[in-house]
Parts: sequence; C-alpha cells; structure tokens
Amino acid sequence: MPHPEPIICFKKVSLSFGDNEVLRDADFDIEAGDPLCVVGPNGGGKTTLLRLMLGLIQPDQGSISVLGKPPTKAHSEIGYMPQSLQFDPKFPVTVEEVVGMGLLHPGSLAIWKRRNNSHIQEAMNAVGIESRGNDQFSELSGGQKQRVLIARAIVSKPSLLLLDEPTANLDLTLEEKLLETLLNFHPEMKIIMVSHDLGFVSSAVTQVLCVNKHVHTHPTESVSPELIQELYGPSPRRILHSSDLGHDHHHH
Amino acid sequence: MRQALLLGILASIPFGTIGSLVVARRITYLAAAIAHAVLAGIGFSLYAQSAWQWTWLHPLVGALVTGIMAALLVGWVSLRFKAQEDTLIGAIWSVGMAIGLLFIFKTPQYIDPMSYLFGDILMISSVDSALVALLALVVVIATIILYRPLVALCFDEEFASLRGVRTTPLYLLTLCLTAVTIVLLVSIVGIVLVIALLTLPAAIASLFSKKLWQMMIGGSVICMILTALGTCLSYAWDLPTGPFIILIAGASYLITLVLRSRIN
Repeated sequence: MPHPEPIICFKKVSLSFGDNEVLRDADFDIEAGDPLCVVGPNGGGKTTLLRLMLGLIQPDQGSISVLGKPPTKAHSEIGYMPQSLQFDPKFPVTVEEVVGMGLLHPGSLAIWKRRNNSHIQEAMNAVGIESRGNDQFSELSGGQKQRVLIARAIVSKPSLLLLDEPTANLDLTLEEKLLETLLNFHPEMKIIMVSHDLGFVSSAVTQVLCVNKHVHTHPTESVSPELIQELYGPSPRRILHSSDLGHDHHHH
Repeated sequence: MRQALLLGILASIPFGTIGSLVVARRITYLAAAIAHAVLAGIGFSLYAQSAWQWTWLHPLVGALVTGIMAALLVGWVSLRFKAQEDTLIGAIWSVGMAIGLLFIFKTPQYIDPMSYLFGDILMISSVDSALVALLALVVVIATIILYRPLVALCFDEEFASLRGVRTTPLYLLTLCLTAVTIVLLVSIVGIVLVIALLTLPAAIASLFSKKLWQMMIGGSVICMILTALGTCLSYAWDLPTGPFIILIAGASYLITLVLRSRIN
C-alpha cells in the first residue's frame, strides 16, 4: 500500500567529506507514486544522496526519514542496487544464490523457506535471466550481472526501490522497458533511480531530482537548457529527450 | 603416527570449511597474524605448567584462548583502523610471537620452540585428538547454521548489512572460527606453516567450485588427502611431517593451476 506521508523526507541535510562539501541544506520531500530520477553531474552527490537514504552514511546536519522511519530502521522495506560491485571475480556463487541474498533478513539461518525459491524464480523471470540460475555469477557479462543485481533488489518486493545507474550496462531490450518490467513485478513499489542518461530519464519518468550540492525537484518537462547548464556546466555533451515531451531539447 | 593421521583427518573438515571462507573473503593476511600470535598462548601455558605447576593449562587451551583474543583484536583493528591496518596487523603478528618466545625461553624446563613453529608429530596425544574432534564439530555446526549470511558477508558485505545481517559480529565470529581452526593443526604443521594448509586446499577446490559449499567440501577432502599422504610418506622417508605436508600442498596447487590453464 502507498504510504500516506512522504516516502522520503530530507530536512536541512548537509554533508561534507573532509573539505569537500557534497550537500548543502538539502530540504525536500518525495511523495509516493510515479518513479523519480536523480540527475546531476559527476561528483554532484547523486550516489551520496542514495546512500543517505539507505542510512549507509549519516548527515553532518539535518534529519532524514524514509517510509516514516530513520533510514536504518527501514532497511527491510528497501530494495537497493549499487552502481558498482566490488567482488572477487573468482568468488564461487551462483546467480540464484545472489538473487536469494535479497531475501535475507535479521534471523536468516540455515532454515531456507521453500517459497523463497519461487520468489527467486519470479524475480529472475522478470529480468530475463531465468535460464542462468545455476550459472556462476562471475561468468556472466556486465549486462547480465546488472540484471542479476536488479533481481536481487526487487526479489523481496520492497516498498521503495533505489537503483544507482541501472541502465549503465543494460542492453536496449531491457533498458527500454525497465520501469514497466519493475512495476509489473511489484506495482506498489516507489522507484528512485540515479541516472546520468538524460535520454533515458526524459523518456522514462515525469519527475527529476536535480542534485549539485543543492537539491531541487522538477517535473521532467521543466528540465530546460538553462537548468542543464546550471547542473552540468556550459557544454553538456549530448542530451536527447524523447519526442513525446514536445520540447526543443536536443543539445549538442 | 596413527594419532597424527587421525588428528589430520579430523582437522581437515574445519580446515576446508574455514579455509574457504578465508580464501573467498581474502583475509589470509589476518589469519596468518592470528596463527603467529597464538605462540603467546602456547609459551604462557608451557611456562605456567613448568614454573607454577599449572598442569591443567594444556598448551592447546592456551593457544585457543590467545587465538580468540588475537582474532578479536585483529578484527577490531581491521574494522576501525583501515588506513593503518597493515602495520597494526604486522605488529600483532610479531609481538604475539615475541611474547611466546620469551615465555618459552624463561620456562625452567627446556622446550624446543621449533616443534611449535614447524610442528612435531611426536607431540600429539589422545587428548589433542579429542579436543580437535570437539572443536571441529563446533566449527562445522556454526558454519552450517550461518551459511547463507556468511556467503552474503563474503560476497557483498554492504548489501548483507542492508538486509539486516549483523555483519560486524559475523565477521568477528569468522575470525574466531579461523583462530579455532588454526589451533587444531598447530601440533602437526606448526604455527608458521599452518596458514598454507588453511588456504591451499581451499584454493585448489575453488578452481572447480560453483558454490561456496562445494569449495568447503572439496577443500576438506583435498586437505584430508594431503595431510594423510604427507603424514604417511614423511613417516616412511623419515622427514619432518609439517614441512613435507606443506610441500605437497604447494606442489598440488601449482600442478592444478598449470593443468587447468592448459585445459582452458
């Protein structure tokens, strides 16, 4: 069920890493409903914002609530896909086992419920890796690994799904229908994703969260050339918007 | 030799199991520091037995207590002082050995430290085998119960903690189980060589395993074969058992690597 209060609430949040100020007075709410994209330049604080939502880092000032709770208390209701995974390329683990990690909970011990296996199968089906379940994770291509990590994030059917650059390695077949696939799998899920791919962003979501030390929310239609310039500097390389928005947003 | 053979076979089960975790989690350096720090406990037990007649303090018990203390210390250092981890772990490694050697030196009755550093098959008693069997059982049961969280911890610690796995206690427990396992085979291969027997069978098994439990079972079987073969051959050829087992393990790993790269 959608939460009546904002899904995420940042109140005057500031954070620095040493002398490097990453966020200043971030103050915003994210309501339940349509998917939302976090955009901004490299080093602008996009991933930091997700990590704050997850409680993996604490703000220097201000407060954050996720699903009405402190972030660390909401973990069981959040699905998360990190931008990159630092893992031993030889680590002996199968695709099925990696997806199953998304079903772990504080009391997970040797007892493994049989219905977990059907959840795992369902999540693998959703992202099109059902035939790879018994393959070793390290033997997959970059795009297939990304699919596995998406399946791991959604397998518990979380209320909130945080995806960090989900389309970075994906092939077009899944990229184009990623949100549709995820929402078909679990319609009640609020999806927040970081992306630098503005073409994908403008075609996929109706609202963006622009992060460059400060945080502002905008409807996708209002992502104007001026805003892009403010976020990314004077010469963004290439920004393509989908034609259905009807805006003159082709920049080179 | 029968006692050594029995002890080697019993200890191979936790060696393959915990060795797989050490190899997969890439904490061989931490495990080696724990192994060397164990000498402090052995030295203290020998001194206390001889100087204060604390006959109940078996060196294996001393080794076990210091091993667990060293594991917790090493774990705390690796979690809290990431930047200086190398230096601090190196310090625990050598200070532990130094304390042990000083106690052995001051023990009234003469003790050859070589037996503890490189193993001595003649030191093994039936008490050792009973203790090893008990500890092996503890290690195996703990691993079976905690298998899924352990795999998640080794593969992606951050994600495991997000799913509610208590990663810090689990990490410290892994190091304590490593310490217990190391102590099991100190009497055969000694504290200097034990780390090779902990990691090489698991590393060989990893070349053929898709899942961590396959690596654990494979590592245990390989460790059993290596210790049994090494013990029997070294006995027949009158060679020191510990170094000979490690030599066979090292050669097996190299041969497996070469054969596998040829096949691929």
